[in-house]
Amino acid sequence: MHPVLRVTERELACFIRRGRGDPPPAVRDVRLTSMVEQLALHVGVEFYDGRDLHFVLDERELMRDRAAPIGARELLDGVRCIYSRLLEDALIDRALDRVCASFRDRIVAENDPHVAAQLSLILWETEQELLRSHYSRHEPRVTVFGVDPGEGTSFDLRSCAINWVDPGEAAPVTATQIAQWNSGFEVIQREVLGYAPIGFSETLFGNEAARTKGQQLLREWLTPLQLAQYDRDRFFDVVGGTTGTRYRVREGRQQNVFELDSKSEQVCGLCFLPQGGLVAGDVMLAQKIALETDELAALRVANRFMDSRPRRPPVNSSAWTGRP
Amino acid sequence: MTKRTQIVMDHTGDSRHEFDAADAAAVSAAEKRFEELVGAGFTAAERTGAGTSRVVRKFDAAAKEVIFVPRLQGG
Repeated sequence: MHPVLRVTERELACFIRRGRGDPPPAVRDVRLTSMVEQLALHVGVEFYDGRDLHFVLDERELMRDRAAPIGARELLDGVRCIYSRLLEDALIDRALDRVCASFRDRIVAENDPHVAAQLSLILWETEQELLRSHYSRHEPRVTVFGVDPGEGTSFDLRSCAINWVDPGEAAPVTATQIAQWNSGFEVIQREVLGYAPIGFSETLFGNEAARTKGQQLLREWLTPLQLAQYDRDRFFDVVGGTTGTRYRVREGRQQNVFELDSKSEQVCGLCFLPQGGLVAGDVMLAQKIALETDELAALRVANRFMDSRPRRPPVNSSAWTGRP
Repeated sequence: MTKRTQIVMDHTGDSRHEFDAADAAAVSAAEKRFEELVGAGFTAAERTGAGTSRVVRKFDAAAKEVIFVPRLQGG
């Protein structure tokens, strides 16, 4: 058995962060250059925006753990995974900022400094709690890149981001009202979570041209019914070619397929996607074709997960009419 | 010209290869591409109607539109 080069997620993320933009661009390619004589692994990462990033992996770690060179493909896959996660982080941060800013905009200004301070504290605690709960559900995990096919290559993605939904017109609320609510914290949290459904994945993956082509390809291959559903709801339903089970393919790249019951309720999630860092449109089409033409093969590779996404409350829910 | 199209999903969205089914050399190149992609783990699916398709295991020059999907993996 060949020794395995271990690169922790944290280490790889540190390298990749150096090329981070806002939002970070997706990774196009990874190049490795010879390092045996120099006891170092030189890695070049090319991004879709044209930038290049070069770094050297730790020579001592390489010597200790590695007898055969790590494959460029494994590293490329790993880098893409890490980068996707960084992109998620950026989207989450941005979405939370916008959600909280939107919430603040709705608050009618009042001159009571005590109320204002109390309100600021509630908002701050809410933001912290949201971030804490998000990251506690999705702990960073060590990723191991194997060089021996028997060792496998393990990726453990959080694959969970926040999709901004414009709240539109919402009723104003006074700071006094919020401060008087014993459940003010929960109300705000529910409001924020309501505008930030969790479970959306990386639709910004890839450059714009690729995303456009992916969307076009998807639209060409959907049935008229599926296309209408997708245009209306940003998801479409497919029927498994073998079992007749109905599945819902939501917009996204990962954790976006759900098995439905007879009432169209989501039973559980299925996470599978094609290899190769494809854009969302391609991924959704691949998922549709797989379920419709070779359902059992798709189910064999899919990882199941429970759908724990919070439901979005009505914009003008009773919480904003002044009742606690 | 009897146009046929092979669509390969890739990081650019997709790459399209058109060929004339009446051109023996083009058909041969298309068959070679088919074998290479399937050999590399791609699944080939032929469009059979509006939004419907079927998996194909062997090259068929009569297939008007075939899409190649990379191997699936668990997420």
